[in-house]
Amino acid sequence: MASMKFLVVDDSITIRRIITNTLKTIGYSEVVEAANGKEALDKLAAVAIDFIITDWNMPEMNGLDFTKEVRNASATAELPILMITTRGTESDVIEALQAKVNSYIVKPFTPQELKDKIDEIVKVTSVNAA
Amino acid sequence: MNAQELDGILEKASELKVFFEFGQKTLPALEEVGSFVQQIGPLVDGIRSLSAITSERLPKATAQLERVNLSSEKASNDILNTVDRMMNQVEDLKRQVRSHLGAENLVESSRDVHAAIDTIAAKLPADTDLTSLLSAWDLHRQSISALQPSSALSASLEQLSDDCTNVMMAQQVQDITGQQIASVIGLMQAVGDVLRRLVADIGEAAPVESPEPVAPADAAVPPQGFVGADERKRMVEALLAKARSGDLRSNP
Repeated sequence: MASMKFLVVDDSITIRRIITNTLKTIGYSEVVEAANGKEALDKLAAVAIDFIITDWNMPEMNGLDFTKEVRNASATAELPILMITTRGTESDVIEALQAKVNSYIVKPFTPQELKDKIDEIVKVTSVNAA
Repeated sequence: MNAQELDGILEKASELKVFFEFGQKTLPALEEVGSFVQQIGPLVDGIRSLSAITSERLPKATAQLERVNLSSEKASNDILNTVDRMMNQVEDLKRQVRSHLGAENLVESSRDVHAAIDTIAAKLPADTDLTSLLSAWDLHRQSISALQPSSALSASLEQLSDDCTNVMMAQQVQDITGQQIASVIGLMQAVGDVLRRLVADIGEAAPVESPEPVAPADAAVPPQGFVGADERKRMVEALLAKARSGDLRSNP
């Protein structure tokens, strides 16, 4: 699955760089970046993406609304979505899961955590697709 | 004075009596109102003095916090640039070390040649050229061995690589604190709006248009920071497991 193309959505340049660099370290070099949900939807319309990593708190369109938009569009409804956010209350996690993110990480995260989550989502979505 | 006029006077007197009785009753209340006005005078003055805070100090403090955010983001990016360069250099060095390690058979063959010359020199002890060749080759063999990178170097490079990753990951704190600062800015702006309306209501200033909030609306929930991070991760994993088994309850 090392040829997967990732879409990293976060308004913080620092976090986008950290996630992109971490993805490269763990073997995923194809990464497209967006600064908010709206920009990410434009990227999704233009580029074939295999996996989405998104923040929640963003201007223009937040990660939760972005996730709902992705799930509502037939072309992107099945894309794996991993949310990485500072929001860590139980109700936050439940709200994100109800919006149908595949998994959830509360910042700060480690490279190993990111790798484990990606592997887990890929495994589950592959099984479901089979 | 006839009886009619007398009745009129008595009626007026009666009205005056009611008026005086009313005055006697309302006087304490009026005194209380006066006292209340005296007491709230300093309070009104205090609210008026908020005008300076809302029009100057709050916007200045907000601007300072925004500058802190921008500066820390710039610093984080500078650090990430440096870490990127360091990681690239470490990767180059690791590649070089790997290629040297691949040439370890050179040391082996050099040792074999040395042994062969040694054998011949033992058979021809009078041959001084062979003896010179043997000592020259010995130096050559030692040089090749010295050029080989030690395993300690490889371990050091791995450690450097891990340290670079740790420095990179630590930059997440910039985003976390940045969101906390954005929440504080949003709160300050909300307080500023309320104060401006209060000051305007007591006639000190015209209502001021509130500035656009810098923070996204949903950033009002402050991030939880590092405290209890493990516990939070366990909670997230438990909820994910529930979601997978279809046992996730509605949002409380």
